[in-house]
Amino acid sequence: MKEALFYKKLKKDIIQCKLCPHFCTLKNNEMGKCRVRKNINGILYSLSYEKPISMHIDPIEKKPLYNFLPGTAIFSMGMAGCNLRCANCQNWEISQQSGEDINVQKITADEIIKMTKKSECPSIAYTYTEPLVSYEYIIEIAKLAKKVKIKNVLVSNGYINEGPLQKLCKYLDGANIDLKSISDDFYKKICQASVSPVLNSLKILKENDVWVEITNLLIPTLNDHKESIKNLVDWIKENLGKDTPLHFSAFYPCYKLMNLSPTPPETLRKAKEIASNAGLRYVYLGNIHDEENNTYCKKCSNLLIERNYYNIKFHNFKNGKCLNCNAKILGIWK
Amino acid sequence: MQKNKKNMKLSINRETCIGCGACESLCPKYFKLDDEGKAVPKIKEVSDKDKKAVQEAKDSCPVEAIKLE
Repeated sequence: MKEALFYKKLKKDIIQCKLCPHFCTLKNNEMGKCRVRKNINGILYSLSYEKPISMHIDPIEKKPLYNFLPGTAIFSMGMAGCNLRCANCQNWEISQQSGEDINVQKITADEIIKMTKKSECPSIAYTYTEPLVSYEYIIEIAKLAKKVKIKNVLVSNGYINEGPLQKLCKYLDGANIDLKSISDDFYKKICQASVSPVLNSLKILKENDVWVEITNLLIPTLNDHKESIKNLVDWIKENLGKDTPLHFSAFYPCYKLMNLSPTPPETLRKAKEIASNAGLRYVYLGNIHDEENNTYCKKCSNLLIERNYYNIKFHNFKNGKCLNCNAKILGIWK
Repeated sequence: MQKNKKNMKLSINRETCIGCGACESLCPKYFKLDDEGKAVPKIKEVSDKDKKAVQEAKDSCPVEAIKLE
C-alpha cells in the first residue's frame, strides 16, 4: 500500500481521485471504480502497489506489438484492477478483483528490474489487466527500467487523465491501446465509460513519440458494422497516421456476453480490407488461426517480416529499412 | 426586486456530468445524484448566504458541468 498520486481533498475525509476520467469521489473507506484505490481516513492509497498478480515472459507479438522489436520476449506483469467494466472482459477474474483481496508476495520495482535483467528481455510490459490504475507502481518501475535501457510498454485501455499520462509518457517506449469502438454509445453501454478520453490519450502518446499500436476487438452485433469500422479507421488515419498498426481481434464469448457468438473470420477479413483500402499500412488479425499476418514494405510491397504464430522470420529487412527499395518502416526495431 | 438580484440560478449540464458526486458531497443541500447517477440541483435558486458553498461545489466539478448565473 502506498499513498496515491493525483487526488484532492474535498472536505474532511472526502477525497476525489484525479487519475482517471471517472474522478471518483470517495468517502472514508470507499474504493474507486478501479477497486484498487481506497480512501483511508482522508488519504488515497494504491492497494495494488508492489503487488503483481501475474508475471510471465511472453513473445512481444502476444501484446500485440508487431512493429516493435519483433521476435523478442517481453517481461510482462499485471496487477489487480480496472477502471472499465467491459461486458466482454477476457480477464475479468483479475481485472475486476478488489485490491483488498490481493494476497501475493510484495515485489519492489527494483526486484522487477532484476528479474527482467535475469530473463534477458529487452522490455517490460505493464499488461493483462489495466496497469494505469496501479500508476504509482508502474511509473516507479518504468523510471528504473529507463535508467538501465530496458524499454517500457503499456498495454492499456487508455482511460486516464491528461496530466498523469503526460508524466508517464517520458518513460514509455511503446503502447498498445485498446480502442474498443469509435462510438461513445458503445463505451457507455458496454464499458461504463466514454470514448473521448481514450482518443485524447492516443493523441498524447503520439505527440510524445511513444510508439502506438491499436487493438480493436470486433464483437458481433455490437461494434462490427462496416460503418463503425470505417469510422474507427478514418479516425486513426487522420489523427495518428497511416503507419499506425491496427490489430483487429476476434471476440469469444465470456464474462457477461456468453450469449454472443465468436467473431466469424469473414468479419475480421472484411475489417482488414476496409482498413487497408482506407490506406492503413499495417493491419493485422488476432485471436484467429491460420491467418496471414506478415509485414510488407509500404513502398515496394516486398515481404519484410513473416509471422507464423510467434515464429518470426525477417526477409530483406534490416534496422527498420526495406533492403529492396530502402524505404523506412516506422516502428521500434532496436 | 433586490432579493431577486442576489439570488443566482443553478443548472447542471446533464450531458457533460459524469456523476462523480463531488458536488453532492460538498454541498448536499443543493446537489444530489439521481437514479441514473447524474447530478441534479435540488434547489434551483441559490440564496446569497449559500453562494459560497455552491460556488465551491461548482469549482470542484471536474468537467465544468455546473452553471451558476
